[in-house]
Amino acid sequence: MSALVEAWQAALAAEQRAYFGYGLLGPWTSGARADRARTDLAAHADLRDATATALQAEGVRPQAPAADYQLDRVTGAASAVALAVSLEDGCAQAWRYLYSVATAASGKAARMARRAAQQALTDSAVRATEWRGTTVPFPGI
Amino acid sequence: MDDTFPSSPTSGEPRHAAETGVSRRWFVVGGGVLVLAGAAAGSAVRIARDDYAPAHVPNPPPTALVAAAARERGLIADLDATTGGSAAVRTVIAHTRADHAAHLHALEQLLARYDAPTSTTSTGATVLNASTGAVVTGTARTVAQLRAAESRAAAEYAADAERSSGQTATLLASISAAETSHAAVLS
Repeated sequence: MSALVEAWQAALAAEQRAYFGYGLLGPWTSGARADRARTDLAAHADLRDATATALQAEGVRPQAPAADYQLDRVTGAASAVALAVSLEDGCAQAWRYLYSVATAASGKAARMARRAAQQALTDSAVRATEWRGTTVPFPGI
Repeated sequence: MDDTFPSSPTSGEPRHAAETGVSRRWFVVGGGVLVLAGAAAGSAVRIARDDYAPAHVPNPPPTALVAAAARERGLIADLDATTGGSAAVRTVIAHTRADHAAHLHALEQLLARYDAPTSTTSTGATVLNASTGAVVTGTARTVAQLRAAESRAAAEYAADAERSSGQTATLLASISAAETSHAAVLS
């Protein structure tokens, strides 16, 4: 498996994990946070599916999601927010890594991965900011 | 509890480890690890896989890096010149300014690898033009103008990142995401 595909699969795994995590934390939110959790859940589902489709287009079998994930325990609104931030940071790191690997590769797949990674890194950074309430200088790093 | 979310667990008990996560994985995959101290923000930046970015490059710096440093100086100068706004806006501006200072510091660390004298002219409070040494004077902006500037910078960083390679590209891509986040909090 090439480094590019491996990094791409890792990004897919991060999205699968985030989707699972939002399902875990969502019930502990209410009001605007619940709306945000639903929106973010849908965004991760869309990105997960788009990433799997992109991998299939490259002749790669997308890895299946895990049956379960080890995530921080959610016991209330505060820990739900903390988990959301953690999930988004994890996604940002995975996409940032794919970006860095894609810069060392060439070809159509690398270019496509790079564009997808930039967009996904940015989207996760914004979602993390919305949950955290503040920015970080270097998302994904 | 809201029961409208799919896959809602019935308890918050810890779950077995079926996935190790990527944060550690990416961190250890690369060759060397460069630590850039983001002094203004008090943050350390870890950039892995700098195996294709030698410590010293006997060439002029990439134009994208030079442009990025100038961009950061401009953004910082405008934030410094913007003294109005509510307490909440002031807090956002202060935090955004700290992020930009961290960006500039990281960019200057990369630029310092190249032969041509380019920068290393910022301090915590004052931003100097790299070529002339003059203080960069900003313009007071509205929140909408600051937001537009952050969005514009994000687009420029993304374009520069796409044209760059290696560690420079990755850093610019991350900064692009940060600038988009700044625009979001300035909304």
